[in-house]
Amino acid sequence: MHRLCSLSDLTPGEGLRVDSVAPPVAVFLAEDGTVHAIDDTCTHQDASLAEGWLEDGAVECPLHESRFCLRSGVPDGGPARGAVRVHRAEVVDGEVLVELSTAAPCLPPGVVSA
Amino acid sequence: MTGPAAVRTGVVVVGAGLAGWTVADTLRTEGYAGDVTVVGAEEHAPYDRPPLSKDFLAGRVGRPDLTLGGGSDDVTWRLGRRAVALDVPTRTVTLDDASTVTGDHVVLATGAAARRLPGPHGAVHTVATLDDAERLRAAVRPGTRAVVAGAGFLGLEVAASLTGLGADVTVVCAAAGPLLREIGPDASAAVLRLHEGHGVRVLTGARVSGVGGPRGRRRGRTSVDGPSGPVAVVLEDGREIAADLVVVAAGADPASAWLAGSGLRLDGGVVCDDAGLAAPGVHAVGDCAVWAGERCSHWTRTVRQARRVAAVVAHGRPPEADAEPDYVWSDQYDARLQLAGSLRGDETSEVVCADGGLFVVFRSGDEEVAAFALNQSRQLMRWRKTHRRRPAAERIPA
Repeated sequence: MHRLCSLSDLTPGEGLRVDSVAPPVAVFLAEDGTVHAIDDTCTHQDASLAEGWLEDGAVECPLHESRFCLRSGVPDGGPARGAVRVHRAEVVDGEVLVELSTAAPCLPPGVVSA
Repeated sequence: MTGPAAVRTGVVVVGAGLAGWTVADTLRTEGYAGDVTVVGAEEHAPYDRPPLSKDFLAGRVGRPDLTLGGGSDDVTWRLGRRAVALDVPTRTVTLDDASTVTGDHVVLATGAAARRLPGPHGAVHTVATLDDAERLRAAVRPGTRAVVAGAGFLGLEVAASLTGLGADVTVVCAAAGPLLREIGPDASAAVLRLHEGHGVRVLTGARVSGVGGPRGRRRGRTSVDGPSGPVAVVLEDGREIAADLVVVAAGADPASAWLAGSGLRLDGGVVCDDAGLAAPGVHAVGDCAVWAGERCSHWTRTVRQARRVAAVVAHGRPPEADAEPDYVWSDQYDARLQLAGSLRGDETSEVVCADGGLFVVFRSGDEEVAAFALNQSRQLMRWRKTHRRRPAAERIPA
């Protein structure tokens, strides 16, 4: 598993973009205290979902308001059609660890996996 | 086959841009079971326009990446057909092939046409359509001298994209600063520094009055292989700027002239109430529409209008009023500009932070009514969340 960040790096209700993996991952601390990790790049256009609007178990892309479910990665309510990859996240001793998905990332046009 | 026929359908959408496509898409996701016909003047499948001045112009994405996709299979698309008349009492649209389409509902979504300047063929460009953007991209080489007439969001994005292609760019800005009316003086100054820092010359308080110079050999309506020859961009104050091409980004006029004589009120667009209703059974959305005295050309508001009208048509009653502040974003170079809410011009402004970017809050009296961010996405997202005025449960679904 990868260590992405410390729990103390996260703000409740907001996301954090982690660039130490490619493609980058967004880590969210939901209002209910759960931690989620998904690919950071919106599947519709190059935008960081870590900067998106987190609410009701979904994050809304800051550009066109596609809403991605944090559990399934499936988009709803916007132009995005591809699901964003979801990674299994765990908090161990105050550190956020993640098992990165082995599926191919769904990246938008113009963005290549580093 | 017989000649053009009269077709009766449930909903007729006139315009196949973002607004028209969103109406059709939302009708189906809302469960509307009647026929849906969308008429569009452009031959291209409906596509998203914002990338035309950004990633598409810069060469980072191609045509297929712009297509508004998915769903909408059970919709009749009449593309490459222009609407020429509307009979309001019968809700019948006449097309340029003399055929007619009649609906129980008509939604007008014909958009707006870019203002143009006369000038030597080949040298004067707009960036309103896919064809425009391809033509402009083909005309730019490293060292191309480009003058952009207009310093709104579009003009500034074009300036940034052309700079990225190696062009030598001058922006002609009518106001005292770029986007001054939209974002206020502090933010405008930051945007000016952003562009000047990339080598763009911004002439403020200036307007282009005409474009003159040697005429290129006319090659008809298709793209020319390159610039037609140097031109002289003449400003109202008499200054002249030598250029290879000019991009006119000076606003767009609503494409509502075709409705003259229909009985609909036209005043800077199709006049509608605050829910987009122009006449019984006739709505208008997007750039061609004026809702409660306001016309807004931004992506987010256009989509909200289109979804709202589609929900009304599908369910026969309006959803809860959408009181969420407007939102517009613009990518210029590596910078992201965002504006939530809109300014009337009498607000006070407060620069909340300037490290690594800029965040400005605007107040009308004690109430925060708008916020601007330059590379401060997180702060702007927080502001939008705090200032939303409707609960999530009543969100209009896609």
